[in-house]
Amino acid sequence: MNSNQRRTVTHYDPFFVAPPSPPPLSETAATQHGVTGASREAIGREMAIMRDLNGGFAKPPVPLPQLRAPQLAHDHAQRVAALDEKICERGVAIDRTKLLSLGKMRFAQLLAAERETRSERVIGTRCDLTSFASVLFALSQAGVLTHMAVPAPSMSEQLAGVDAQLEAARKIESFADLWKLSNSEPRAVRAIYAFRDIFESLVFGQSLFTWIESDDHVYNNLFARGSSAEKVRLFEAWLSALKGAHYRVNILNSLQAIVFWLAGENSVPPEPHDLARDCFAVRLPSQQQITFAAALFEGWLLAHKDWALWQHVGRVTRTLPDKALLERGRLKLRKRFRSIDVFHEQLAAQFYKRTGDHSEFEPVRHRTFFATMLARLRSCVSQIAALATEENSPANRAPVVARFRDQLLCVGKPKPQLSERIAAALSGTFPRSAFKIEIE
Amino acid sequence: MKTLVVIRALQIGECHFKHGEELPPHALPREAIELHIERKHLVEYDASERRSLHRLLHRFSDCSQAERLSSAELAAYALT
Repeated sequence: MNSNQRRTVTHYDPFFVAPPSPPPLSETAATQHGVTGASREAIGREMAIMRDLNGGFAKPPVPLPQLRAPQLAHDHAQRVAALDEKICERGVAIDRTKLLSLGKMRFAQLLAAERETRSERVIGTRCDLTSFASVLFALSQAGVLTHMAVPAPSMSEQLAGVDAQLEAARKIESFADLWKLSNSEPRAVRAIYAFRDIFESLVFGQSLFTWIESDDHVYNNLFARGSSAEKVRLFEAWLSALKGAHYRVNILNSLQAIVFWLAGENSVPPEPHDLARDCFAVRLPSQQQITFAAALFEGWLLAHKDWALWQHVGRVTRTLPDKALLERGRLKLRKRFRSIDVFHEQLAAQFYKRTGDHSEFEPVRHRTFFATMLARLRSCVSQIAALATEENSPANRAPVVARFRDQLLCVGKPKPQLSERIAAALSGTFPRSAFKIEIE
Repeated sequence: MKTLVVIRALQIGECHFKHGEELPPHALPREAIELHIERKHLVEYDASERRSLHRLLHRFSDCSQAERLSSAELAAYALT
């Protein structure tokens, strides 16, 4: 090749336009950018691992079962809200003098009950009967806790994981659980309960006294919104201190009628007396037997079984229930009201969660759903009864001054056939239901 | 605050007190209380150990002193 030959270089335009190069980053910004990217990636990896460990991708929430719904008017919620507001504004008229004299009489009863309780060997002078911790300590000093009615879990049960119901049945957390010690010290437990009942009532009465306004009325949210708390029971003890004529509308079988209606059971809910006759096979059951049978029936309607049923009945009767008798009674109820039993089974079947190759029952979710549903329906019953009472009263009268879950407190005198009218309104909302209304 | 508890049968005026019962506050002057404590008729407990029923339910016991119920008790049994 000739060294003088000239070399030529040809430049071709590229086919693709090169992307514009990003503006050059400063050293600090570049480091920050890199760290953020790496961190985001690490978080993503971590989340993916956690998702895989928890059973793959997020599952959609299992829908809750749909139960029968009451037939309510389209403006029902507004009417109830307006009525509740009116009830709060009306207040309950209390006679201050009557309340005070009743309170003084009860205080004397409290001192007598205390004297009775302190005559028990296990209650010392240092024991404060108003404090659960003090009472439990006094009982434990006497060795009562070593003779619990509920058996301790065996070694094999502990290894297999103790039954949650059994564990709950062994717990003594408040005065409401003190009946579990009545196999060792039945008299002391009865005496403590007698004292507690009066004490709690007096605490409520004292607070009622402080809430009386200058117009002799008590205005409180407890008297509206279908309150179901223990306080309603405490308020009942002070009804004789009300000012003027009052009457009560009691919904006697709210829970029973709702469960029967939900389950499509066509028969009428049985009376506690009949249940006791059936349960104990006697012609004339005692009051304790009637209370036991009613508690058993209520516990069964609430879908309690085994230790949970034992606990429910024990809390109501404040005695140690015979577990074999409970089981026998439950089986009888299952046979007698087959549709309710099927309803309970079908409802429980909705609360099984797929776990690996099997399904597991979710008792907490089931209990929460059922209790919430029943509370909502019972509140609805109270609302319908209150609206019916208001509608069946003269225009210038405002009778309902308190609306609780299972009863209404009204001023004046009841109109004739009021209970039939309330029952008719309830039948319209809960078709083919069998609510029992009592005016007293 | 102290709670006075009778630890022997005691008669004050027309009132009879049995073992373990609470003596109402102001039922006796302080000197008499001291005397009864010395004679082992009475014992004093701190309110944190045993509360006075007369002070807790002062509206109905006509006691001039008052003792507050716990917030848990008020929430459970009183109008709130």
